[in-house]
Amino acid sequence: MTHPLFERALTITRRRFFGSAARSLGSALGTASLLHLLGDEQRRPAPHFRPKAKRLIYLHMEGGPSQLDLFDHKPQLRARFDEDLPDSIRNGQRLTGMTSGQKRFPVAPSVFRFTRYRNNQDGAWISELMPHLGTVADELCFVHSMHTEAINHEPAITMFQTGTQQPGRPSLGSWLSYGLGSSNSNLPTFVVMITQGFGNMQALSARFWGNGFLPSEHQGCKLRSSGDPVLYLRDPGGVTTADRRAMLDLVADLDERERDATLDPEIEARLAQQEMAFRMQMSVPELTDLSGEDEATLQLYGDDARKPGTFASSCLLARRLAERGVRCIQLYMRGWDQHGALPKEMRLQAKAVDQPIRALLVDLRRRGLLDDTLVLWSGEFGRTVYSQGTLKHDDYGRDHHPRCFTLWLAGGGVKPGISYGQTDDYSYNIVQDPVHVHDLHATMLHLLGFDHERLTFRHQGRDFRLTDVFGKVVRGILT
Amino acid sequence: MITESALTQFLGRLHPLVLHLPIGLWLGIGVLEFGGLLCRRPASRGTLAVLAWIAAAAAALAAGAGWLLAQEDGYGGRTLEAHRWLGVATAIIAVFAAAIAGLQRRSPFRVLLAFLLGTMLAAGHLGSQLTHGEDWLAAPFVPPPPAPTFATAVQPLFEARCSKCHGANKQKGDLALHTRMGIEHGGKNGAVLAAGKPDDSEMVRRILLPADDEDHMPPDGKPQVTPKELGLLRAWIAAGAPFEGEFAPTPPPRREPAHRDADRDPAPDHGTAAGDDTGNAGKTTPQAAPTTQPAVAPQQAPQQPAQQTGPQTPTEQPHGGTPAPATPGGRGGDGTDAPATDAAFAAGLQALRARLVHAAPIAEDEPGLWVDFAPIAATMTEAEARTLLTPVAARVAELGLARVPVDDDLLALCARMPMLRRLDLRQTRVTTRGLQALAGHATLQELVLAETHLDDQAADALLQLPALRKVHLWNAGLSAAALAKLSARADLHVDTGAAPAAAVLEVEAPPAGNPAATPGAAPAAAPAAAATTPNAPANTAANADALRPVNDVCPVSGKPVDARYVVVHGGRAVGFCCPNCPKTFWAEPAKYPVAARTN
Repeated sequence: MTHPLFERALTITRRRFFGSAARSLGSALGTASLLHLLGDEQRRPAPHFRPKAKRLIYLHMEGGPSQLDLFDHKPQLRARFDEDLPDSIRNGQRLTGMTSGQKRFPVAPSVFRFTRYRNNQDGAWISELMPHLGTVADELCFVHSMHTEAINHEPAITMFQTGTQQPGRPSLGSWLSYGLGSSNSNLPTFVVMITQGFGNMQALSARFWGNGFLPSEHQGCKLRSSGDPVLYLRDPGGVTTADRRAMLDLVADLDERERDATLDPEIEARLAQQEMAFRMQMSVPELTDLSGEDEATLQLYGDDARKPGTFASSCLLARRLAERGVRCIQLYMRGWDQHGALPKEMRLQAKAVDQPIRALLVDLRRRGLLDDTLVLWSGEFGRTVYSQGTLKHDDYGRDHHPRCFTLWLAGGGVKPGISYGQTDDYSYNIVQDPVHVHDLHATMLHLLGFDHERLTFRHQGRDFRLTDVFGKVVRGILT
Repeated sequence: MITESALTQFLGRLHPLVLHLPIGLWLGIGVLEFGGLLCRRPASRGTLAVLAWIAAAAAALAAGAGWLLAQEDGYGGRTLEAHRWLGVATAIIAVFAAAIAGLQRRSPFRVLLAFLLGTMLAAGHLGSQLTHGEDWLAAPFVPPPPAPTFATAVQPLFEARCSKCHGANKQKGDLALHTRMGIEHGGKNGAVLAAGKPDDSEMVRRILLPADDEDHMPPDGKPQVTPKELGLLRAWIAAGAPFEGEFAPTPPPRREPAHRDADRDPAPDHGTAAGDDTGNAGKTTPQAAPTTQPAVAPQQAPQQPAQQTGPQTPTEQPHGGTPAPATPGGRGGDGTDAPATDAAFAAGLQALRARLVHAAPIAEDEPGLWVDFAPIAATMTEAEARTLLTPVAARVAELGLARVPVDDDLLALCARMPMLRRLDLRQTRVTTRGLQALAGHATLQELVLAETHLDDQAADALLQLPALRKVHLWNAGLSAAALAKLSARADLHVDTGAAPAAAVLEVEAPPAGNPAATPGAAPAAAPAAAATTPNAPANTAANADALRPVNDVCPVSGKPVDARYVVVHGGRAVGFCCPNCPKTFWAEPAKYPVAARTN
């Protein structure tokens, strides 16, 4: 075994060693690259300052839920039914291929009725689609002035998850795992669950919870919604736990020799993952075993709580994961991409999430977890005020709209019961306090105890960070 | 702008380029001419003439360029003069030779050619001496100088510089440098050399003192030690002062002598990253270099020769970062703790982590720990928790014991944790007695007691905690009166965990009647609702419980409503009898009119 300091410092692959050595010249060959390597791994096993939130639960509504029909209340649009969207409002915004062929852009007010619930400001308007959420309106911090650049799903979700529209960078959960030090635990630091929706569904790629260029122990672990939550955890027939343990010990021994010889950090990641998988044999069944939950709690989430694969079941599992020390839990709900048949589809979508989300917040609060859990509900962009397709009084569709959309946060360190930011009368442009996705990331990292400019990783000669070169913490939503 | 001097410089610098042409051409002409002589078949005169003129012109150009080049700074000396005039001579002879190259009689031309080649050879040789130095060609054949030994290198030094006062006839300061024993023994002030450490050797120190220092050796006025001799001496000491055998003649880089380091702060920088790759090398104490060199030795073998040439700064010092454990999944948090020397604390931390308990500093700049048993609460026992917590108790700031079967004894330990700020005891076996043990804790701010089995006296116990700001008491067994008593304290936030109800301030009016929808489309909710309920929906929605269904019978089946299955439609909460009817209702809401209660 090599000296521990040396071992930690030289966790590099052969290719990196020779790659960086080749960049140096002559007699400084090894020394310069050695120094470069020693400064390379900027692992921070702790937050930079005391965090307000210790864990993150991120509810991503894939497809882009319509803010006009949920949270952005524009009653004055009722008088403008079927009017053309003024050019002064649209200001030459680029259209997607789906609506660019339309001759008209008629304003489509929402068919849903809004209710104003008491909060710590002058009330939160929430539509009839989410009455359960209305009961916890005083916990929610709405941000109405979100904006992004991406107009289509893949780049937009990539932007939300990794901080840039191009794929290849680590996801938010991976950055957290890296920053907190992927702790020695029996559940992964970063867990993902996906729920199918009822409306138009778009693809979800595994790289949305991938580790990019960070060591692969930081990648998200997706729990399957039916059957075994994680494949191949269970010992196959005829293999006992002792056998499995012996096998793992032998493989670990061989891997360690290889690691000592080549100093490949991926081997360390592999060793960590194998040990984690062994421990997950016990911890995952314990996680998904709902027999210990009392009936009242299950009723809180609704009947779907017992059905694996539903959003309610995922929310319940999210709370259980939070209880068991998982630091980043992501729930994806598909089907919010209402290009057409919006009223019908949104009713189904909203009904599936409304009660479980409220239940999750109430459940976390009861168990004393909400104050140090950051909960985020968000789509990847918003939807247009004009109708896509034929506009009827009771039926319309909406196209993608990145220029303004709404999300909400709750929990650790977020000012509860406020609305931040404002859009114009058409919910088309932002008139006050714009918040970009990078700013959101910066704020989230701040709440989790990190200075977004200091949580970096050197790759290809550059110090990458989640917020790239952008992002400012939004002080207005912090307590 | 091209100045005249720049132009002349440029033209002068063409000399090394241009001179190859006349050399090649005249040699070629020589081969042709003398080859023809040998073979008795003279080369074509016309061809030779042409070649000769070209060669002469080239020679003239080369000489001219060389003349201009010689004007540059840095050129001078006898070699240059000789080269210059030989070069000019070559050019002049070349012109004459070209003039007679075409004649019938060959011998004058051959004579001139022979002279020309001679001067050209000489000029060329001198020219290359100017550029590459003397002995350049022969250098590869020169054997390397023999490695020095004590007898050949060091003893003559002592003989020449030191023996007058420290030799056979005189031993100033009781120091004799003419015998082995004398050298090793030193003088009345102690040893004069430390084997392996030239810069710690008194001998070297004295030689390096300023000349006017009274301790400087050899004394002022006597022949001094030359730098080359000093280098050999240091190299000899660095090699361990061997009296037999050879030693490497290159001395190690010089550094400050050891005894002066005691005043300096020895700790290298702690921890973080990169950017100062080159900067820190010279700045950290060089003392680090010998101790860590063995550790980095395996990778350093190719570096040793580079390091020993001249006064290079030792660049392979490892970053002063704290050594992090290399075990997979191991955490590096240890190094940032201040009392890293506290072995029991470190061991306690390791034990916690080995047991999969989360135990880490809350933040980089905070000494307090967050210890969370949540990952393995299901398999933890109270005794083990107590054993694990005792060594680290002094630094625990936030403690998560939820779902661990701890009881009041552990709370006695918690009461003694001086930094404890947050304590999570959800679903544990603690009772009021345990809370009483916590009474008076100065720093405890937040307490989670949900799902425990307390009684009303717990409220009194909680009021005994002066720093308490937040307490969670859902399902804790406290009565409403006790909770009210607690809530009465102004700065204490009590969370009872009650399910929140909607606090409705305003409901939007339904949209004004719209033209009839096209048949077959999903009908709007509003017309149906307006037709069946004369009451403004605002009444029902204004209920504190906005989810109480407005109807008593299921619109789809006609069976009594089960309050669990409620769907909001058209601004009203519509109840159904079972989970299947809502789907049917949604498909065609107009088909199933809702009979709202009219009360």
